[in-house]
Amino acid sequence: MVTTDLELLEAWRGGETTAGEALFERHFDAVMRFFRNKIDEGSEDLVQRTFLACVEGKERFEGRSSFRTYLFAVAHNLLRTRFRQQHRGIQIDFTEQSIWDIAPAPSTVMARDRTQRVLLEAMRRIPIESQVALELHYWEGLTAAEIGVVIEVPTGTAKTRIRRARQLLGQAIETLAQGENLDTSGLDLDVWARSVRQVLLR
Amino acid sequence: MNDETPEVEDTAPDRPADRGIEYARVKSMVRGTLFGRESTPLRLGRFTVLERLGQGGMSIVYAAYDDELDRKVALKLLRPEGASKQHAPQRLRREAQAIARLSHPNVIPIYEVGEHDGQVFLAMEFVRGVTLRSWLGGGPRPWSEVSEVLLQAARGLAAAHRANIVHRDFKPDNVMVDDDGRVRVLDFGVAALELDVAADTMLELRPRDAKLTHDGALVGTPIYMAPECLAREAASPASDQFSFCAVCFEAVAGQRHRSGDTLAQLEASGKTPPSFSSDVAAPARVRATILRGLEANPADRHADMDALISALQPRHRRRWAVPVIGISAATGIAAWAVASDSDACQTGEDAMHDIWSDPVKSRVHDALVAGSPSVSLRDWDAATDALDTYAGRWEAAHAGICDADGPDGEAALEQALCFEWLQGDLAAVVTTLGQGALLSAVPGRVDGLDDPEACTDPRKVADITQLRRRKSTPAPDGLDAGLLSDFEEGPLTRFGAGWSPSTDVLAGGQSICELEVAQGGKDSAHALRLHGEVRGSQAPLWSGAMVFLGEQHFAPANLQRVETLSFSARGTPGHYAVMVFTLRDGFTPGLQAFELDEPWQHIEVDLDALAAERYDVTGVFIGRVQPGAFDIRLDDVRFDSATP
Repeated sequence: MVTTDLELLEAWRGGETTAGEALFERHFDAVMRFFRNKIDEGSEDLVQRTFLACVEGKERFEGRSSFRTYLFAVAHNLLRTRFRQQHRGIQIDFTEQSIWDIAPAPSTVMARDRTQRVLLEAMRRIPIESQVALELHYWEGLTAAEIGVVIEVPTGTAKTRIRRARQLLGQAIETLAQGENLDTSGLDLDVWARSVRQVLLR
Repeated sequence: MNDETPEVEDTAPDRPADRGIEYARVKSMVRGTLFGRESTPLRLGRFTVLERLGQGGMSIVYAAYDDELDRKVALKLLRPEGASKQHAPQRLRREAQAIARLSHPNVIPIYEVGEHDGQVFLAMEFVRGVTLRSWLGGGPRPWSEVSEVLLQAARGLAAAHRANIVHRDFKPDNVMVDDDGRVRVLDFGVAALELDVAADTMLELRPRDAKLTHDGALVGTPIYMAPECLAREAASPASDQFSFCAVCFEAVAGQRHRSGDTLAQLEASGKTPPSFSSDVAAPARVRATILRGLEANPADRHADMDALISALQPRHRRRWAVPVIGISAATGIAAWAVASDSDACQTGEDAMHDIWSDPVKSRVHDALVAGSPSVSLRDWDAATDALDTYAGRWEAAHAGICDADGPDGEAALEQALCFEWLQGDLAAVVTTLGQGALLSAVPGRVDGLDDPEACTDPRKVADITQLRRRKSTPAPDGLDAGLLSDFEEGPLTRFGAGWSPSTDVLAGGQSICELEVAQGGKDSAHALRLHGEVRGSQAPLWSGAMVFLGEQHFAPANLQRVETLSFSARGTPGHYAVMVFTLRDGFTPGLQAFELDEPWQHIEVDLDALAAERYDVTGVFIGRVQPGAFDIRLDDVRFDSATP
């Protein structure tokens, strides 16, 4: 019999470490992927805090969405807090500013080829909220409704934001590819974006 | 539970190739912290992985512990996959073996090349220090310090080249400066492999902290790469030399030698030869050396790293601290230094900086032009243009004597003196400005100066020096020539055996000076006499003689103190000066002036007062600071010869 995430979480909260470890094994990769292209130094700390926040129940988990969605919502909050802490004195608008705007540095993800790198870098050049939404969409397969829970907007708004984010990503890719004389015309953005997922855990 | 995960492999075991060592390390660490368990240390062969030191798009570097040899190492992991993965370990091994054979203090030793789950790693010496990039970013540093670090890196590259190893990716991130100031160049073989993996792309050459500004920029710029490498030609020692000079340029100028973030921009900006702005601290010789290494055509660069190193090496161990006496005083120092050391490159350039350079120009401007509506700006421009042009021609011609294949010995000395004479002439013109000469007269005066190119032609050198010497031969009017015959003629620049102090003429500006030396005793130089004339209408112009100890007079090992000094003088009443050079805090002259109004008045110099607490007196200047004829006799100079 398969134990659900919720059952594991409750058992962990009740002190069963093995349940916690099982939950950790299930979701570690997704959480690491979440931070990988956004935080270059010290992402392990955020991964750890994400799980800790879950078990400590600091963020309410109402059971209406999946545990995964809840986990991403927690991770998203921690991400925003980290950015605010790291860049004190700067007013960060997560719907407007990209990671590149705040701290222009190339991604440390070890891409396999140029097209992958272009995509990883393009992700860092769209507003952080758009990046979160798109990465969850492409790499974790979250629905618009779930993404709405993570970025705290209604489903309809989430849909609009994802569409807009896709356009921004397309533009960022175009600019980058042009600068590098890379022809990306034959590439399907959705397939391409999904293919990059596999390099995030290297 | 409504967990709609479309991609089931999320919880499925992953293929090992998809999970790198970094993944394993983070996971094990987080698991350990979360579940209060000692996390199993991550091991790569016999190495226990400790903390992560850095990460780029191509590799991760960890601190690790070598359990067998009981030492800390740096482990560099290359990205798990790549076009040449199959060949990577063999290639790396070959490179590492070559490096291991090298064993040079400025090349980082590679201990081992290994493989773990398909990931290639290199075990290298663990260096406690910072990268050259951080070191340079750590605030302004004196040129001497920067130069020393760059030279060490250059020696590392030179050693590699001698072993037929080309670095291919020399940049500030690949140089470590350790806590003791020793420099090591890293990543010789790795660069080759990474470039190979990167195949047709520049994307992977990404300095982690590159300053990128354009949105269109994907790469940290391959700014240090030679143009032939950007054009995909094979790397060579000459392309390493280019990269090295690109790093030097940045270290000296505080900015990169070319601009651009993308390959296209770089190639475009690389078409214009780089140049330094005038406020750069490094000497002209160094600037010229760097620019030569940055020539687009490899054939136009230095012959090899060794040639570059010898061109870059400082000519003197310490720099001159020129006393605040004035423009022509600086010339005097330079004239003396050249003749005493026969190595004119550095001192000549330094002196030119004091004679006519942007700072001098702005001082003169402040004194003459600023706030004086009567001064014609056109005259100012014409005067400064003329001076700029002459100084530029002098520097260009002078740069030639820094070449290794210039003349040796006497000829080199003559040549150096020739340049000094002309420098003195230029200084005299500048000095006249301070003395109220008309700006409008300057272009004509400069026009009348000898062409500095002449100093590169041995026959013309002879003419120029002959002419000057003849000028200074007759004793100035009013001096009793007969008295001179009381002294036995001796060599101009050397005393005899024993402790052998050497003497030299300091001829500043328009002054002329002749030195006569008689053999002194074993520990004194009591029969030294000089006569001459300081021309010009006012101070500061001075001429005189220098007495110091042997050839290595500034090496602390040869330190001898001047114990006593006295002199007598006659000639036009006026000021005489004694300057004492000390070693304690570099090269600090102390100056004491005397007014003599009676002929052959005997003066005992209070050396204690002069040297104050810096009492390591190694040299003495004695001379005239005011215009007029002089005849000076050193009555007694005694050195503390007991000092080793």
